[in-house]
Amino acid sequence: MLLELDKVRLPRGSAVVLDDVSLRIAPGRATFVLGPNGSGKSTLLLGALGLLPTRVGRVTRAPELQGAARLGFVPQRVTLDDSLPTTVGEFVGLGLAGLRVDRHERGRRIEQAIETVGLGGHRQRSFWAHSEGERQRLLLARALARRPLLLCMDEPTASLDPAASHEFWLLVDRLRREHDLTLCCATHDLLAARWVATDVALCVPATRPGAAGRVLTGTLQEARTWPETDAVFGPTAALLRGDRPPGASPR
Amino acid sequence: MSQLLDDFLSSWSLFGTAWLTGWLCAALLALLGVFTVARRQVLVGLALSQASTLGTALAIWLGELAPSLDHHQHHGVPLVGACLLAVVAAHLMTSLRGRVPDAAAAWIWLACSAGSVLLLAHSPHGTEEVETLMFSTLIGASELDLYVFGTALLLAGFAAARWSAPLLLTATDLQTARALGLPATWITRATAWVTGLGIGLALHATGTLYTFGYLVLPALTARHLCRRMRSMLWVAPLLAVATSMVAFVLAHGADLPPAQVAVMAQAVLLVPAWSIGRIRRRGP
Repeated sequence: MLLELDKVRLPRGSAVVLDDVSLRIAPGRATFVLGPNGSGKSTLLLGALGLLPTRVGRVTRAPELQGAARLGFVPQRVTLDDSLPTTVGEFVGLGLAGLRVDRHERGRRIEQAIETVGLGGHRQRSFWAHSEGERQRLLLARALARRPLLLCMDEPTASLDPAASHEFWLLVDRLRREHDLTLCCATHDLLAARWVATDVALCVPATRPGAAGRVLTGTLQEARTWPETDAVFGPTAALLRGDRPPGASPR
Repeated sequence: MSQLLDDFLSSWSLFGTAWLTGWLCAALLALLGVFTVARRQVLVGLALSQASTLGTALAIWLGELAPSLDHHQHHGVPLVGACLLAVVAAHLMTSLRGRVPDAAAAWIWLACSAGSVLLLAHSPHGTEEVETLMFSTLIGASELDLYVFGTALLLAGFAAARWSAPLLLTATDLQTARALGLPATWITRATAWVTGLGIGLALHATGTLYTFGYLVLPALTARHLCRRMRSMLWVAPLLAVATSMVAFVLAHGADLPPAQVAVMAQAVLLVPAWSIGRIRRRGP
């Protein structure tokens, strides 16, 4: 097990957003944290990363994930001020912050990560000369430069159009297969979950005001049959069922 | 030109310490300013400069109440006040969740501007000191200032070169920095404290205008001239030293206040830099 949450209570400010959360992320699996806006998807992801105080319950990381050297993170969008100059190489290299790698190895990792996301030869180009979709792929490259065992993503396609989003998820799916990556991804994109996920953690909002939400966990197949899936997503829950698109990996 | 330089060099025995302090101070502020600009906190720099002025005023006011703290006998007291208030204000700004709102910076600037004058309204010498700080003058710089800025610049330069990636990642993407296991909260606090301390020290030696001007203008200029954030870490201090050198020579020759000439020179330089940046962005 790479990461395990055991009966964890997750706060955001003074309010408890999710309670009694148990989640196990096994190597090689793609766990998608799903739920409507405000249900606590990002809170769960941040809690799993140990970025939120957990007074109740326990978050355990596998020894190989201690120190976060083999952990990659893709945020929702680029937060860098677009008036700041940066090249693709420098931007991706920031993903190696805090790691002790020599100059040669550093250059190799940056080059490989950029090539992996299909932007080989762009290392010296300005980061800002790239489209929104390409920038999101470069965020992915920044995470891949750490050679992660676990790749965590917080709504990585929230700012992309459907075509760029589709391209992004196909890339993630390919990387997962080729590099044996373990994924933990918060998203409200049910189509992406249908294509890529093996497991689902469904954030179910509380029915009473002031109460904490809960999290259901299981495989994608199981999630398709939960009554809560329909209750949370309504008719759009159908997106989680159905065929996988061309190009997606066989399950 | 050669006459200007000769005149300037002949003033070295009188003002050499002040000139050197001005250059070192400019380089230090410009380096700290890169992180201020990277975090989109230009107005915070202005607020911290003013908090530092209030710290000086507070120290002078306390000295009038308690003779043991009189700044005429203990010259370090206003300096401690300036540094302390700037560091406290910087710390408070980092404690605010999310992006530091401009409103908070504006509030600090206004409250500190009014407060520093009101505190010393009935003390003619104190008011004079606050006005001097706001006006900006380099002439009062001492040999101690020279050593302090030299050491501070060396330390800040070493830290920026050694830990540029963690510092830049934390300044531009706090959430990712935390996720990757960096002590991002402490890095943010330490950067703020060092910036506050640098501003406090600089304000004491050079005044508000020079301090704020050299905190933000070189970094804003370097932003348009560099291709990488990392390059800004050395381009901004170099620009700061170069413009302040030229400005001091011109100011001395034309008998103008050097701090104001230096800030004006740096402000003027921003215009062509901005044009270069625009042209570059249009390119492939």
